[in-house]
Amino acid sequence: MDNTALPTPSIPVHDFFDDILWNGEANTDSPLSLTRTSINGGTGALEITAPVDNTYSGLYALETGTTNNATGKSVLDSSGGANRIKAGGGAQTIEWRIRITNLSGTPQFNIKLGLQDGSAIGDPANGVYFYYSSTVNSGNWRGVTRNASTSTNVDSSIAVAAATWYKLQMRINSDGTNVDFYVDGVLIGSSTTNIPTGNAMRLMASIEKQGTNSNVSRNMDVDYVYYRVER
Amino acid sequence: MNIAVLKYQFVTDKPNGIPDEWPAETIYLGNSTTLPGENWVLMTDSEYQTHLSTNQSDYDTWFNDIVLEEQKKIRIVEIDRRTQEIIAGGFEFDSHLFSLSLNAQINWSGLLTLKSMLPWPMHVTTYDDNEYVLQEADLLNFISSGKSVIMDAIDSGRALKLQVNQSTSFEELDAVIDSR
Repeated sequence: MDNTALPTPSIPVHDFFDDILWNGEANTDSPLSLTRTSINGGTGALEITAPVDNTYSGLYALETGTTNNATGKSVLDSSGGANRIKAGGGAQTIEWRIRITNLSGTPQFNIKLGLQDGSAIGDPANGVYFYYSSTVNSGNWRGVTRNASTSTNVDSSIAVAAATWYKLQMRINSDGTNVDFYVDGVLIGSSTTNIPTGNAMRLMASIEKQGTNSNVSRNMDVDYVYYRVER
Repeated sequence: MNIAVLKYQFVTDKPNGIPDEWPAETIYLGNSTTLPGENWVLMTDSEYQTHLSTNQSDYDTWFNDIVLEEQKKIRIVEIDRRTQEIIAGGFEFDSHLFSLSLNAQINWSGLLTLKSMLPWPMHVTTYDDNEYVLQEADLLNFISSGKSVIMDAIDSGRALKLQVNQSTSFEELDAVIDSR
């Protein structure tokens, strides 16, 4: 009989990475089943040819669209629109790399990146995400945990700059009692309240107009999304 | 533990119809009693839990009526998109793949309509732009193969959309999975 002790199993880690190198918009080409949804005139465009400066391989340009309204929205959605991920289901890390083309002038707009439970106009009922709006927190990055439409905001002093790549990472601890928000590797703060452990969400990036009507489109480029769960 | 609570009645950019008494934002203050601004109210943890319990029913009604319906619309758009994707994948006949684009559907229907006027066999184009020689005797099976792909996609999509529309909770809606 072999009594040699077996090695202690490590915590299984599951990594998913989508560099947005799709052949068209069919979700079967995306490791995370990402698809883009247009709401009220929002649009989007795939760029799967790396640029000369090699700052990305493939990306998705999300655009609020040129329809004259205050609600144009473009969403990079996942899981076929079904909510599959809950906070508290093991330690989770989510990272997006994005840049916002233009911050100034009309229209006002906001972006959200992370986990959300709906893509309709406005805020989701449940979510854990990064948030930017020129009219909120002086245009600095904000982390949000939101449960049953009640939010806890984690405000940073990091101003969002136009045409600048950002790595936005959030780490949800294993029992869903703490979320750390990182901008380019720097911890901007944590939330321990209004974390939606009982409500499922899905990976989502969105940009939407807000305020007054405008036919000027605003863009956000999404380079990649990374999702890790440890169980 | 003290909690600063901002109710939706004091929020301008908010979801349509959300109950005024429902908290839009909370800040946990510890032992402090200093509120972050006007319109915020101070509650103890116990008072906050009571406030939630008192207003939970109104919130749930709003959530189910408004948000669930919005989610249903999104899911139906996704199902329709997948249906179109399946149809765009074309159909197989005699080990060859053929297009089901709108133009292709018109062309295939034309073969059937004008069957007696056409020179047979017909040379038709495959999905990958090669030539296929279609025999007159195979025409009905050929058309039937294409029609089956379209009808199966539409029928299965309709069944899924029916499930979506009949969902009365998010649990039921999440259980509808388009695995086509």
